[in-house]
Amino acid sequence: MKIIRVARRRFAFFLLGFVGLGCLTSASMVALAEETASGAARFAQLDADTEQVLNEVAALGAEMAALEEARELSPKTQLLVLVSVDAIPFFQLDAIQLQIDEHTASFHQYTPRELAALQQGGSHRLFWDNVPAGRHQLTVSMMGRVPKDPDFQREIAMVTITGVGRRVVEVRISPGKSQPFPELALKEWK
Amino acid sequence: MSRCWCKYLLAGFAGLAWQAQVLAETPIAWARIEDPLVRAAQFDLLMGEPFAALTQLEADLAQGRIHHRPEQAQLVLGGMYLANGAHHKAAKIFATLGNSDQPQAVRNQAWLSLAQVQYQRGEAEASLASLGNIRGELPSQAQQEYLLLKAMLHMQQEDFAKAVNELRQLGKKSLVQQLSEKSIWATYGRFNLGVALFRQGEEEEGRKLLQELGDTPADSEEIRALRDKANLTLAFHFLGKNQPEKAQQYFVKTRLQGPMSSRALLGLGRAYAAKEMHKKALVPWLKLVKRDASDPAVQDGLLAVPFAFGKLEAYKQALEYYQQALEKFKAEMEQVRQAEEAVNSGALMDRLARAVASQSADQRWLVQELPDTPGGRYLWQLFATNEFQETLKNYAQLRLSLGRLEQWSSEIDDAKDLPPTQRKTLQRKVSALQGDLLAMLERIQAHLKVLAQESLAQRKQRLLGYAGEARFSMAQIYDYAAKRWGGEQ
Repeated sequence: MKIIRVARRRFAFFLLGFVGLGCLTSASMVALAEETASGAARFAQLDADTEQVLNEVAALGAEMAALEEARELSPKTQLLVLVSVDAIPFFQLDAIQLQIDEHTASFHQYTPRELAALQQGGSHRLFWDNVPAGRHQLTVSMMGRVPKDPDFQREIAMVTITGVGRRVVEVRISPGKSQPFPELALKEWK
Repeated sequence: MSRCWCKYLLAGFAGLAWQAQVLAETPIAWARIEDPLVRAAQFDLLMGEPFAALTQLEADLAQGRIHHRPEQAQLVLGGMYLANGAHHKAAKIFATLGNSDQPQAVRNQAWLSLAQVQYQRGEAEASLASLGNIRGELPSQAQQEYLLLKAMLHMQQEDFAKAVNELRQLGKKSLVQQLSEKSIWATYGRFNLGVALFRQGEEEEGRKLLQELGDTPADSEEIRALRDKANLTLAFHFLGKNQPEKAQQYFVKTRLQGPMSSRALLGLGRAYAAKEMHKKALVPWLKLVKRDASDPAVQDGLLAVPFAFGKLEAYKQALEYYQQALEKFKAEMEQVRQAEEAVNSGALMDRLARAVASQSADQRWLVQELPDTPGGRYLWQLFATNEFQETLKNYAQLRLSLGRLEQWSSEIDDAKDLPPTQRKTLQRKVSALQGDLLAMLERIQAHLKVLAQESLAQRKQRLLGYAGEARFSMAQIYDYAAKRWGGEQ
């Protein structure tokens, strides 16, 4: 039947349309390829030019960060305290408190996202400020949860001397010898 | 090889591209970064502050504060440039490190990172060359990334035998176990291996793999979508080989609500039609035509339904459905016209700009978050392309940078203690960069507009073609009716 034959041909045609490649002649495919190539080059150029401008912004950003730090913090009395957490099974960190000479300098409660960032190797800046030149006692308290103890706490202290250059101290929470209880350690980086 | 098969292979590549994106944007996973300042910057990056992380690390490096394993700082810095969209700069850092006299483990990581950047930029040969510089064993996760990337590159170059070889290594029990059998990496790896085996002619093995994937219990939307993709791949494969019975088995396994469901309904109807079961073909097709008519599969369905009625010699219904299809095509062309108007008048760019401005700094620009635009349904396909997404990301970065410059400008004004020469130098830099940013924003807007116009023109052409088809078929029916019954009436 003619109609059905025509319809079948039509149907076959639109099925080719469905697969998306049916109607392209070789000439139109060449033209399309050229157009795509020039479009790709246009995009690559635009991308490279954008990146160049953005890199200049980043360079200025680094300059501004250094400038801000220089204006706000003295290079001699600066103290930076960082927190790092190793992978410890069954332990969840809740908060950390830093006391300098028995005065609370910082208290930070960790969000799930911050805990994930710590687990992936990041270190949190707990404290970054000037501390008057001299001898100071740093006391760090850690609050968290372990099996059978939802109020797990540990404390550690050390003495540091400020006024002789930038000080970087790391609070490290790592698996203890008697797992699952974690251990606290303080390290001054030179 | 049937053409529909090519189409689904491309769908596979889209999945691969997603993985490349993941590969390129995941911060480098060091067992332990030695220097605490590098770790502090890494924390900012992981908290979704890539710009703050980058500028702080650059400032620390410039002040000579990184004393411990500085090569790690370079690798992390490369990752930070990447997270800020600076592919070229990241590639330069990785290449320098790869060619340095650092320990082999560091150089291997640098080559792998460089290869990932090159892959994302479409530089397949350069990417393979970078992978070729890797020597010795990689840590287990890096080894997985290495094998998957290599396989993707071979597939892109249509060297399926080599792709199969890499994917088989990825599939080795010892490796897969480390990520767990249910990991999305292993699942994508299995899917890609199935596709590669088909292309290499090892159909039986490819079928087994895809079938296994298609029957896998899924606990996430991602796995469910991949399961649908595996079933659809098999279904269209058998349909292309004129085995509608087998094709039908896989079409019915695809979910009715997933992103592949419209194609599955269209394909299922085709499987019945291939067996001359036109009444049965109408069941999925009639379900299909009730869906959003901007979907190409639905548009195909709008012509498939009257065709089936024609085959059943129900010419009155065939005419009705052709008429209905024509009306829908007309309405869809109006949608395209509205979208064109939004693009040409700049309304689309205005909405995009507003949406970008309302985003927080760490949000990745996602296609799902694009604003509701008149006729916007016709721009989704364009929005999903890599070029549009990358350009939009650049646009968002430039807008954010413009805001930062404004903030720095007022900070410089407020800093009364700054020496006048330093203040002037900084102000000059800010002002020059503001001009450069505004010029780039204009260029990007013009580029996005051209992309949208080109995409809409294609969609319009397709709709016009379909409308022509419907009119032609209707004329044929009238012609046939006149010849058959005209004399009797």
